[in-house]
Amino acid sequence: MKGRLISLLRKQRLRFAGGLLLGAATIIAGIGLMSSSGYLITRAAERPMIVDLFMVTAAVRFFGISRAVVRYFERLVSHDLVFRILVTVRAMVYRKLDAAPLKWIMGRRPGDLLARLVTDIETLQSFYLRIISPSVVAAVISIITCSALFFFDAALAGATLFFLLISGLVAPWLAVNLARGRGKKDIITRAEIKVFLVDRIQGMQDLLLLGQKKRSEKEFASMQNKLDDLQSANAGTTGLLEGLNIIFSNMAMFTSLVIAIPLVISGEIEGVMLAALTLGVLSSFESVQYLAAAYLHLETSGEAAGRLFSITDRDGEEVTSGSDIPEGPRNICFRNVAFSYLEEHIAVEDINFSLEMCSATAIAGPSGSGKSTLVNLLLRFWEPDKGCILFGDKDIRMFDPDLYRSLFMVVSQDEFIFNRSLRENLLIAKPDADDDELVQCLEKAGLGSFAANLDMQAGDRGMRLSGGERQLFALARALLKDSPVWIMDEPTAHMDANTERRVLDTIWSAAGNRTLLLITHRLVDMDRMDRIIVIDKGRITGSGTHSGLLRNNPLYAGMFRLQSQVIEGL
Amino acid sequence: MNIHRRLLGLASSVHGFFPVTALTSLVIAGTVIAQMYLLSTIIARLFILSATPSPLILMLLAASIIVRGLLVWIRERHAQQQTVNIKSSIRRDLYTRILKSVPLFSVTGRHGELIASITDGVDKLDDYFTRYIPSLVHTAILPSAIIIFTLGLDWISGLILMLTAPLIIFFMWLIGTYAKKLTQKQWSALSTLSSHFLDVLLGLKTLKIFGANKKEAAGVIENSDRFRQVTMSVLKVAFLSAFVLELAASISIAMVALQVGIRLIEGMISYGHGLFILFLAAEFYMPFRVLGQHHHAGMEGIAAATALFDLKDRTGSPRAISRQPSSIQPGRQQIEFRGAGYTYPGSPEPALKEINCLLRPDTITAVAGPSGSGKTTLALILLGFLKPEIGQVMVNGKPLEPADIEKWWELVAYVPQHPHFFNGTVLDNLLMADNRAEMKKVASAAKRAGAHHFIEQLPEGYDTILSDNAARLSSGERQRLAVARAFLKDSPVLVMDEPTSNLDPESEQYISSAMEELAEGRTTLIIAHRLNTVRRAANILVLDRGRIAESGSHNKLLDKKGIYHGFLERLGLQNGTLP
Repeated sequence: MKGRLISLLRKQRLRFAGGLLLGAATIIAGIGLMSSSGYLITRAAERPMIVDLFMVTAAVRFFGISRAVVRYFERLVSHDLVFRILVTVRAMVYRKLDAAPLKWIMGRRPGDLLARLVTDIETLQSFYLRIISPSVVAAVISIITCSALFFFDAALAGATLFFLLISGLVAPWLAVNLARGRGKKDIITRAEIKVFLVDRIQGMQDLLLLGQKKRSEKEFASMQNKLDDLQSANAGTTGLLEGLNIIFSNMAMFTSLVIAIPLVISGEIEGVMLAALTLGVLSSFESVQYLAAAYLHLETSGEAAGRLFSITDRDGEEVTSGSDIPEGPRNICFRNVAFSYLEEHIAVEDINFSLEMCSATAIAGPSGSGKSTLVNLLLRFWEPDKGCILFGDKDIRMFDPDLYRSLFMVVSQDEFIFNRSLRENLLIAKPDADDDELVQCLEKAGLGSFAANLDMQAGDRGMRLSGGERQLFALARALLKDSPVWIMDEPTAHMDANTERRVLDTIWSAAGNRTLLLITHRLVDMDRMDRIIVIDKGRITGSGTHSGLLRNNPLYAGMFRLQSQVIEGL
Repeated sequence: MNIHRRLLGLASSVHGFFPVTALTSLVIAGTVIAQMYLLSTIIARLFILSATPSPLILMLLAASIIVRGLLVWIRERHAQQQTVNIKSSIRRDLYTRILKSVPLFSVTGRHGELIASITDGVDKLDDYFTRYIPSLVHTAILPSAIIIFTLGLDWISGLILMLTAPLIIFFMWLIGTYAKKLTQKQWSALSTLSSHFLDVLLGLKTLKIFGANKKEAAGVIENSDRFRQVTMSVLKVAFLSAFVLELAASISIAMVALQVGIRLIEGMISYGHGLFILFLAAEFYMPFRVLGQHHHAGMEGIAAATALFDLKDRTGSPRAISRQPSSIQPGRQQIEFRGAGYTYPGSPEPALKEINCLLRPDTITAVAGPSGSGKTTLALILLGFLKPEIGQVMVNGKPLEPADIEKWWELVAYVPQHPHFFNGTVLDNLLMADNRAEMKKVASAAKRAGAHHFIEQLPEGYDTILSDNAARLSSGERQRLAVARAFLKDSPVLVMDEPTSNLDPESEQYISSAMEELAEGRTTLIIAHRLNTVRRAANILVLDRGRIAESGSHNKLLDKKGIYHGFLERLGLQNGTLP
C-alpha cells in the first residue's frame, strides 16, 4: 500500500524535490543560526575588534531571517504538493466508481463510500506531510550534519549519527510496533460507531417509545469506551515518544560535549568552536523531532490507503463500448430472466414478456414483488443471472450502455433531486435547453409556479420541495428528455387522488404514440392499458386486460378491492 | 473568542487539566534552566580556563536531561489522556441531547449532518486539545519563567525577550482574526466538497439515465481542485502566523546573540553568562515555534467547534429532571386536546390549528383526511414528540408536561407506518418492548400479530439478524413485527398509523384483524387510510387543512352529509359496499 502511495509522487517530482530542498534548507538555517550565534559569543569573549566579527554577525542575521522565510515556503510547497496528489486520488477513485456496475455500488452504504472518498483521502494527507517528506529530510540532514562533524572528529560524527539513528529510525520503529493493531482497530471501531449512530438516529422515535433511551446511551458509551481505550493507549505512547525525543537530542549534545572536552584540551578542536558545535548538534535534531509521533499513525494511513485501493483495484467494469443502436422501432423482450441480489434471496424468476412498440403496458403487483427490479434490469443497471433481454433481435448487452439508455425516459417514485438550483437540476436532462423550454416542461408537470424561481436551491436531496412536488419536478425533468420509451415507476406514489389524476392525464397526453411502461401497485387507469402484467413474489402470475384480470386473477382482484377502501383522497 | 472561551471551559471542566499541565510545565522550566546553566558553565570553564569539568557536574547535566524527558512524558501523556476524556464527554453529551430533542431532527430528517457532527466534527477537535491547548499552556509558562530568571541575571537580554513576546502575541492575534474567516471558508469548502460527492454518489443512477455521468465526473474533479485552491489560499494566510512566530523567534535569538556579543567585547558581561543567556533564548522561543506549527490545527478545531456548538445550542440544555411527583400514573388514560396547534419551523401555515377533542379509554378514535391535512402532526403531539405551540394536551385531567415525557412514553405504544428495526436479532427487537418477557410470551405476541409464521421461516428463526433497518423483510412483514412489538409492550395508550394499499392482500388481512384485537381495552388513536377501519371507530375526526372539519361516528357523519359523505359518495361507497 505504502509503495503505491509513494509512486503517486512520481507525477509531482519537481514539487516534491522542491519541498524536500526547502525542508532541508529550513533545518540547515536553524543549525546555522544557533552555531553562528554560539560562535559569535565565544569569539566576542576573546574581545576582538568589532570589524573582525563582521562575517559572523552577518551570518547570524542571514540565518535568522532566512530560516523563517524558507520555512514559510517549504510549508506552502509541500501542502500544495499533497493537495494536488489528493485531487488525483479522488479523481481516480471517482472514475472507478462511475465505471462500476450499479449493483456493486448499491451493495455499499453511501455513508461508507463517502467516508472513503472524503475522510480516508484526508487521512492520506498526514502520510505525505508528516511521514514521507520529513523522513527524507531527516536522512538528508543526518548525512550533512555527520559529514560536517567528520571534519572535526570521527568519534564526534559517530556519536551524533548514533543518536540521530535512534531518534530517526529506532523511535519510529518502536512507535510502529507499540501501535501495532491499533490503527486497524481504530478504523473498525469508528466504522462501528457510525453504523450504530445511523441505526439509532434513524429509529429515534421507536427507540424512545420502546423505553430504550438509557440502554442505548449505555451501548453508545461502551463503544465510545473502546475508542477511548485505543486513544488513551496512543496518548501514552505519544507522551513516551516525546519524552524520549527530548532525552535523545539532549543526550546527543551531552555526548558530543563529553567527546569534545579532551579534544579541546589537547588542541585538536579549537575552543572557540565548542559552543557552536554543541548548539549545532542540538539543532540538527529538529529534523527527527516529530518523526516517531508521526509513525504512530502509519498503520492508519495504510488502512485508509487499503480501503481506497480496494475500490480502484476492483475489476468487473461496466462494459462501456458496444455497437450502435439500430434505427426504427423495435420490441423489447424478456426471455427466461432470473435475478437475485443476494445468493439466497431470489428477486425475480422465469420472467417472460415482451413490450410491443407504441403500446401501453402496466406491470402491477404489491410492494416488494420485484417490479422495480425489472426496470433496473431493463435499464442495464443489473445484469440477469439467467436468461436475456432482447432489443429487436439483439441482446441488450451488445450495445453501448450510454447509447442504449438514451432510448429511455424514466420517472421513478424516489427520483433523485440534486442539491443544486432547479435550473441546474433540469439541465441534467438536456444541457442545451433554454429557459423557455424548461418553463414549458414545468408547466406541463403542473409546476408553473416554479417558473419564476429557476434559481431556487432544491436543498439536500431536494428536501426544499414537498414529497409531491419532488415527484412532479422529476416528471418535468424527464419530459425534457425526448426518448421513444417511457418508463414510469410508481410516478404517483406520494400524491393524493386529485394530483394523481392530473399527473396521469399529463402523462397520457404527452406520451402520444410512445411506448409506455407503467410500474404500479395503485391500479388507476388500468382500463386504458393495452396489457397488464401481474407480478407477485418475483414471478409473473398473469397478464391480460383490466376486466379480464379482475375476473380470473385473485391477487389482482384483491389488490383492486383493497385500494377501493383507501380513503386517502378525502 | 466566544468559541475559544467555551472550548477552554470544556477543558477546565475536566478535573486537573490546567493545574497539572501548568505545574509540569513549571517544573520543566526549572530543569531547562538548570540544564542550560550547567551546560554553559562547563563550556565556559573549558574555553576560558581549559578546565576539565568534574564528573559530578557532568552527571548532574545528564540527570537534568533525563528528568526533563520524563517530565515531558508525564505532561504529554496527561494532556492527551484528558483530551480523550473531553472528546468522549462531548460525544456522549451530544448523543443524549439528540435523543432528547427528537422533534427537531425527526422532522427535519437531517441525519447525515448529525452523524457527521458527532463523529468527524468531534475528531477535528483532536489537534485543538492535544496539540494547540497544551502548547498554549506551555507557551504561557516556560517563557515567563525564563523571562523572570533572565531579568534577574541580565536585565538587557531579559528586556529583549520580554518585549518581543507581546509583539508576537499581537501579530498572532492580528493574523489569527483574518485567518479565522478564511478557515471557516475552508471548512465550508470541505463540506461543499463532501455534500457534492454524496449528492453525485446517491444520484449516480439518475445521472446515468440522463447520460450526464461523464460530465459530472469532470465536475467532481473540478470541485476537488477548487477545494485545493481554496485551501491553499487559506494556508497562505494561516502559515503567516507561523511565519511571524518563526521570524520573531529567530530574529530575537539573533538580537540576543549580537547584543551579548557586543557587550562581551566591551567586557560588560562574562562569557559564561553570555552563553547561558543564548541557550535560554533558544529554549525561550521553542514553545512559540511549536505553537506556530499547531496554530492552524487549532483554527480548524475552532471552525469545527463552531458547527458543534451550533448543534448544541439548537438542541438546548438537557432537560432537568423534575423533583415533583409526576402527574402521569399507570392505568386507564383519558386524553384531551385543548386548543392545541402547531406550526413547523419555516412554514408559513400552521400544520394544526386549535384542535379540541377527547380520546376516551377503551375506545377507538380514527383520524381521516387528505395527505397534508395534519394527521401525522396530531399523532406526534399525542406521542409527545412535538410540543403544541398553543393549547395543551391533558392526560386524565392534568396537562402533559415536558418533564413527564419519559414517564408518558412508558404508557404509549406506537405502530408507525414505517417502523424502524434495529441492528440485532428479531428477538432482540421484540424484547425492546419488554425486556423481561419470556420466549413463550414473545411467541404468543408474534402469533397474535400474525408474525410468528414468517419469523419461523427465516433462516435462524427468532435469532435471525436484522440489519440496515431490516432491509430483508417486506413491508407487510415489517408491519406485523411492529404490531407484535406493540402487543408485547401492552400499554394503556395505542397510536397506530395504518398501512396504505402498499401491502399484499394476505398481509392486509393479518394486520387489520391484529390491529383490531390490539386496540381492545386501550385508548386508541388510529390514523386511518381505509374505509373498514374508519367504519369501526367509535369516533372519527375528519381533518382538513389543520382543522377538525367534522367528527362523529360513521353513521352520524353520513347523516350529516358533509365532506365525509361527499367523499364516500364520490367513491360510490356510502353503504360500505365494494364495487
